[in-house]
Amino acid sequence: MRIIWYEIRKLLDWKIISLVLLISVLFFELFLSFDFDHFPNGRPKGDTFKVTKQMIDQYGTEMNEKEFQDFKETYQKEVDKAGDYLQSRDDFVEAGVTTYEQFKSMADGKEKLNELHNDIMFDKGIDVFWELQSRESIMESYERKKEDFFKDTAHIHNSAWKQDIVKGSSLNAILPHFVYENYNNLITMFAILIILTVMIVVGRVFITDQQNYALHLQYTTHIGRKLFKKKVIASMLTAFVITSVYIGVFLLLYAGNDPQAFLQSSLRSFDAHTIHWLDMSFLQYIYLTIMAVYLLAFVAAAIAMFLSRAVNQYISLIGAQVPIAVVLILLISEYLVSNLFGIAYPMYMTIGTYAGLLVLGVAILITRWRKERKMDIK
Amino acid sequence: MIRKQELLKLTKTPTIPLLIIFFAALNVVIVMSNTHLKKDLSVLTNLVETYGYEINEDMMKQFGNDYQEKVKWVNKIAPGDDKTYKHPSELLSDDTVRRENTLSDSEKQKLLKYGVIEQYHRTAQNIDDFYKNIDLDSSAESIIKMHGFTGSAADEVRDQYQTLDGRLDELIDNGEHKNLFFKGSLYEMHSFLFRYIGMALIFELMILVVLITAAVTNYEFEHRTALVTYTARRGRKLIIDKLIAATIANGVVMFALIGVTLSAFFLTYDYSGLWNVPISSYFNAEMPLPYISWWNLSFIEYVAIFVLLMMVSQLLFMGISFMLSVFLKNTYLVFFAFVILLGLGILLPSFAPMSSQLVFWLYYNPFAFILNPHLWLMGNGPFTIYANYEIVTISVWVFLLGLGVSYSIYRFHRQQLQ
Repeated sequence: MRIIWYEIRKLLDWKIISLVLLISVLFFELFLSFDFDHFPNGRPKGDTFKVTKQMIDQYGTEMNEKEFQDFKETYQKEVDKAGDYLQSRDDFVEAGVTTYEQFKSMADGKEKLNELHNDIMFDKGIDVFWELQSRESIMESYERKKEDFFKDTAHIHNSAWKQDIVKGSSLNAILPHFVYENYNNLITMFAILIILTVMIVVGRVFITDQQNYALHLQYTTHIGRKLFKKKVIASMLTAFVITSVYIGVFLLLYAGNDPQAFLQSSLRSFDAHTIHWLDMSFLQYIYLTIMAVYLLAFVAAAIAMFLSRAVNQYISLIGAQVPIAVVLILLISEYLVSNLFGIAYPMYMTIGTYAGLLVLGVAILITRWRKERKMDIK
Repeated sequence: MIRKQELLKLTKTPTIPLLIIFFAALNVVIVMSNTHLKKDLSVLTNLVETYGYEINEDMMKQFGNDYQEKVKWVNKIAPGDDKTYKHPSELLSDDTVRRENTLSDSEKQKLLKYGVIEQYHRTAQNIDDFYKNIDLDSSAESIIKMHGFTGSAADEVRDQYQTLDGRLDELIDNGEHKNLFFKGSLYEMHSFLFRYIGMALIFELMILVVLITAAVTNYEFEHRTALVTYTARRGRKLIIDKLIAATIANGVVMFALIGVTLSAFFLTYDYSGLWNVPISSYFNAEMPLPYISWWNLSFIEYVAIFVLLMMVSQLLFMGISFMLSVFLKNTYLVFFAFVILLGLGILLPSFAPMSSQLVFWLYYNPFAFILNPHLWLMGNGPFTIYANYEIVTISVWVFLLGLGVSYSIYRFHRQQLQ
C-alpha cells in the first residue's frame, strides 16, 4: 500500500500538477467557457428555456394531447396580453397595429413600421413577444413531432422499432434541443480534456524512473518486478482521481446552467434533433456519458502506461501519444461520448469500439507484465 | 561531421518518421474528403479550356452563344411542349418533370452539368454590378457591430476599410475580379485548401518542430552524456551545432509533409489552366464580401507565399522551443510548456478591451498569426486587416526570437550543467 501511495505522489508531482492545471485553464477558456457563460444563448432560446421550465412545472415531464390544448389556450391568453400592450402604446395605435397578428406581419419592407417592430423586439426586448415566438415554435415542433421523427430516422430500416416509439409517449417529453446540445458539447470537451490530462500525468509513470536509472535498483529489491503491478494500480488510481476531480468540477459548473428541471425528461422529446437508440431520460444519459468518460480515462491510462514502459525517450513517448490522442479525440467527438448511442452510428459500433478499447487496454498490460517478469534489465 | 552525428541521434528512434507517416496519411484523408466535388469542379476546368479564364466581352459573347445552344437542348429534351425553359435550373427544379421521370440517365447527367454552367454564366454576367455595389463602409459598420468594437478601435476598423476601398478600386481597374475560378460560394475550395488543410499542416508541423528541436537540444541531458560532451574541447559550442542540426531536420520534415500533402491535393483536384488566375477573383468569394488581397497575386503565387509563410512561422516555433529547451532541459516539459504558450498566445487578444487599439496590437503574435491562414495577405479579417500584418509579425518576431535565441546560447555557455 505504502509503495502505491509513493507512486501516486510521484505521479502527482507539484510541477506536473501546475502544468496540467495551467493547460486545463487555457483549454477551459478556449473550448468550454462559452457553453457555460452563454447558456441559454440569446433570444428566443432564453425564453424557450423559461417557457419549457414552466411547462414542466405544470404538466410534468411529458405533455399529452389534453395538456397541449391547455398550452394552446395559454398561448391565446398571451396573445391577448400582447394585444393589450400594443393598444397601450400610442405609436402603435397610430400606425394601426393593435393585435399580435398585425404585429407579426407588420415588419415587411416598411421602414417606419420596421423601426417600431425593432423597438419592441430589440430595443425594449418586451418578454411577452419573445415568449410568444418560443411558444409558437414549441407548438410547431409538437405538432410535427411524428413527421420530424420519421424524417430524422429515414435512414433506418426498422419500422417496428419506429412504430413502437411513435406509439409510446416519449415523443411527448419536454426537453429543448439546445439543453441537450449544450450538455453534449460540454461533456465531449471535458472528455477530451480528461483524456489528455490522464495521458500527460500517467505517461510519466515508468519513463522518469527509467531516465534516472532507478528501475535497475527497484527491480533488484525484495518487491522487485512486482513493482510493475503496483505502478499499474497507482496509475489507475491516479486516473480515477483525475477523472473524478474533473467530473466533479464539471458537475458543479454545469449545475449553474440550471438543467435540474429537465433531468427526468426523455431524450426523445418532440424537440429532439438527435435521436438515440436507447430510451433514456436526460439524467440517465448524463450517468451513461460519465461512465463512458471513466472507461475512456482507464483505457487512456493503460495505453499511456504501456507506452511509458515500452519507449525510453521522452520524444518517443510524446511522438507515440500524439497519434493515439488524435484518434481518441476524433472518436470521442464522433460517437464515443458526443451523441453517445445516437442513431448516426449503429449501436454495435459504439459497443464494439468500447469493447475493443477495453480488450486492448487489458491485453497490452498483461502482455507487458508477462514480458516484464523475465526480461533482462539492461 | 558533428552535425551529421547530431542528426543521426534523431533517427535512433522511429518516432519522427512514424509521426510524419501518420500525419501524411491523415492529410491524405482530409484531402480525399472532398472528392465528391470533382465532377462539378471539372465543369469549370473544361470551361476555362474552351474560353480561357479571363472574362471579357469577346469571351462573354462566345460563352453566351454556347450557353443559348445549351438552353435549346434543354428545351428539346423537356417533356412538355407547352413550357419553355430559360435556364437548365428551371427544368431541374421542375417538380412535375422529376416526378414523371422521363429523362434518361445520360440526359440527367448532362442537365446537371448544364446547371453548373448556368451558375458560372450567371455569376459572370453579374460581376460588374456586384462590384459596383460593394459598400465597404457598411461592411465596416456591420463588423464593428458584430465584434462590439467601440471608441478608437472602431475608428481604426473604419480607417482600415477606407484603405481597403482604395485597393478595391485598384483591383477593379486591374480586372482581377473578372476571372473564372471554382465557384467559392458552392465549393469553398479556398477555405478547404488554405484553411482546413493549411491549419492541419501548421499544427502537425508545429508538433514535429517542437519535438525535434527539443529532442536534439536536450539529447545530452536526457542521455546523461551532458557531463562528458559539454566538458570536452568543443564543449558548449555544441549547442550551435545542435541548433543547426535542428534547423536542417525541421526543414526536411517541412518539405516532406508539405510536399506530400500538396501533391495529394493537386493530383486529386485538377487546377490545370487556373494557376495564373488572380486570387481575388470574384468566383473565389465564399462570404458576401469577396476575398480582396492586398496585392495582385495569382493563385500559384499565393500558394507559394502561403507555403513560405507557413515555413517561416514554423521557424519561429523552433526558436521558441529552442529557448524553452535551454532553460527546461526536458523534452516532456518543453512540449507542454509550448502548449501553454500556444494557448496564451491564442487567448491573449481576447484580454484586450474592444475599445482600444491594443486589441489589434495583440494579434501581432506568432500564435494568433496561424489561426486564419486562409486570410493571409487578405483585407478580410477584421483583426488582421493591415496590408503589412504578415510581414510585420514575421519580422518583429524573427528579430525578437533572434535576440532570445542568442541570449539563451549566451546563457548556456555559463549555466550549471546539473
